[in-house]
Amino acid sequence: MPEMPDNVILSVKNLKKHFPIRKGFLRRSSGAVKAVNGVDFFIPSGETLGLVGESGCGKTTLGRVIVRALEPTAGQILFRTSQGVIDLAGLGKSELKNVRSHIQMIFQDPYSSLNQRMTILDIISEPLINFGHTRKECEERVSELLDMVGLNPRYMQRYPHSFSGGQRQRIGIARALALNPSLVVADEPVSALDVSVQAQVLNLLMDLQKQMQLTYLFISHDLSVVRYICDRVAVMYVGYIVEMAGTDQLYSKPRHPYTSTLLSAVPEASPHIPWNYSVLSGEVADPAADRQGCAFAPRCQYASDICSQEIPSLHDVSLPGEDGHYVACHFADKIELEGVS
Amino acid sequence: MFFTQNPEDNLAINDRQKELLEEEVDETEEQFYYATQWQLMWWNFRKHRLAVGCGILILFMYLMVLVPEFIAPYEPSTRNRRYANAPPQRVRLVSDQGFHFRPFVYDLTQEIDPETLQRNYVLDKSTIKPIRFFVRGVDYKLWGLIPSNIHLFGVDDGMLFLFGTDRLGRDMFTRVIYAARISMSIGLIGVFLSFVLGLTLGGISGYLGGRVDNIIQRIMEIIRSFPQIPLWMALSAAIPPHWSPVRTYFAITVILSVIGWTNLARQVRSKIISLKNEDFVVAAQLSGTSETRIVTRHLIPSFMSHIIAVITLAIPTMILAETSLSFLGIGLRPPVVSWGVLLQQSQNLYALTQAPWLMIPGLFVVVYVLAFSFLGDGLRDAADPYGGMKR
Repeated sequence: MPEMPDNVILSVKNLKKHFPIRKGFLRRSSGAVKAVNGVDFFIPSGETLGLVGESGCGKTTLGRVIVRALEPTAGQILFRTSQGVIDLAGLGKSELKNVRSHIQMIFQDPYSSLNQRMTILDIISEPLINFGHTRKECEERVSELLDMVGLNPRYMQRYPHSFSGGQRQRIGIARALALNPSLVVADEPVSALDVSVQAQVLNLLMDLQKQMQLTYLFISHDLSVVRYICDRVAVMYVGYIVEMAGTDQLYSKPRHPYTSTLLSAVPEASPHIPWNYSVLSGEVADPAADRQGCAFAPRCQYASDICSQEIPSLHDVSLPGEDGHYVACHFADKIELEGVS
Repeated sequence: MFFTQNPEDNLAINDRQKELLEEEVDETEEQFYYATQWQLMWWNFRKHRLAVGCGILILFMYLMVLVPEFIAPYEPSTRNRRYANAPPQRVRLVSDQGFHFRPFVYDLTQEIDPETLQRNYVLDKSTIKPIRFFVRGVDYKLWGLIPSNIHLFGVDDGMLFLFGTDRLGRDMFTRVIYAARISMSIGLIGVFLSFVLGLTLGGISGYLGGRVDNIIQRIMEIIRSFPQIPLWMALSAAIPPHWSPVRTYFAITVILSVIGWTNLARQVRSKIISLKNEDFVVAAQLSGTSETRIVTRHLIPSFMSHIIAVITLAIPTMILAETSLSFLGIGLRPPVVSWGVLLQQSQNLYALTQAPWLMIPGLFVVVYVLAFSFLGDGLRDAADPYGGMKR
């Protein structure tokens, strides 16, 4: 049985997901898009890990591989259940079904994530039915869940089209929590919602975390949302995690040049504070290309020869007094970077 | 940064919003909230007046062909030698004696033009033949079971030819009604067969993907790349001529659907491919839903409405195919009557110049096909009741 520290619920080791590019009439494989290309991270039980990065960096793919909606190409996904630690990456279909109740997902689009042709009761009770609950048990549980997510249980016979985006997202959350999961992968759960509704849903997620001892992997591109809800943050760039640290540490003292640039791109909500953002030159690296060095090297102002020759590994660079600050940069100890207040 | 770090502030919004959620709604809205997909579709479809009208017309036509023995005054193969190529009789209300409350027709008598030796029909104005409803006439057995001799309408003595007669003096109205039964059912059965084929093969192709998909797609492309008419001709030439009319009828239906399924299979495949990647299907997979349940509870209900619209639009194509096959003389053959068979008779100069009423079956084809097209259009617009609802 694989080993993992006691307080950690999920530990991902060298996880890869490559999508083959097929070309021509015979659909021969010619190269691959390396959406996730060797990712390591862990989440302590009961915490929220934020996963940030720009569009196309592989955040969503990583989330979907962890819930096993996609097959990983290589690597390990160690997950703690009450029976012990299991490697999700190696599970077959029937074994996977037993784990499904422990890991659930909240989707980005509250419109396409609910089947419009089913009532709320049917939608939320589907996972329950799959795990052998009776119709009557389902109804009780659904009304309990609706109450938990702040919707009136009277509405359970309605169809999704009678609900607003925020309400639909609550229904999606209720469905994810139906089976009492321990880990919830939230893939941009608030980015499709109005800003005023975002706050409500985030607070709901935080309340539920306290009530049900949930662990979240919170995928987002919105740095302010991540700062609000996450205990720790991991930054992704073109298939790699470049930095991972406690939220305050990462925002105030980033150690990777990419993180620093990303943070500087967020404008202050005050006209009196000058906005000192840095603009990167060049394009985002091609995830299909074979690379030897750091993916960020071509755009990095601190890059030197070693950066284009050797892929930096994610290593602990914690200063005394900090805990668990990981950076994948050859010069993490040598450069001074600016964070946000 | 937008959110205040004090969660209490944000919770305040949360509570107020909750109150708003609890607010009562009026009854029509309430009805809308509980509406199933089919109810929403019906409400959308109802707005499409033309389609509703065509739907009613089609329903009416099918009710009619359900009981052709009752609707038609005569039998399709009865010959009336005295009335060969008789023109349609006009239904009148006014005669020399004034206004009649009961519609009537004049009898026809034959006269030979002394110069051209051409046979002409002249009205015999001395004989007023009132049209009566539910008259007793030729004996028949309804659906082969119920013996009866009541017909919807007719005249007491003499003949009534609403659409005239053909070369052998057979009543065209009767023949058109009997032909409608064959033509209209061939459309339904043909579409049903191609629906079964298309749903199965298109479904497999879309759901499994990969190599299976590739093979099925290539087969479909090969079938589609054949020129249709020569292929039909070859296939129907293979039907043994000694087969009974019923067997030939089914063979023709199968031939039509063997070619017709490809279009439907494509529609099903593309729907399944797009639905397979929808979030709600992924969510179902993640909650441990079995594949059978995903297909039956999520995929099929999601594209069924669309497929029904496609099928409705496919029916007229089937009818047109049958009609053109029979018109070319390679589809159904007399004594079976279909609209195509009837049209084949009008395929000559005589019909065009002297007996244009022989082309009335063509009018029925046009009306029927148009009605189905409009109905299909309406259904297609209503098929996705959630389209306009997003945000």
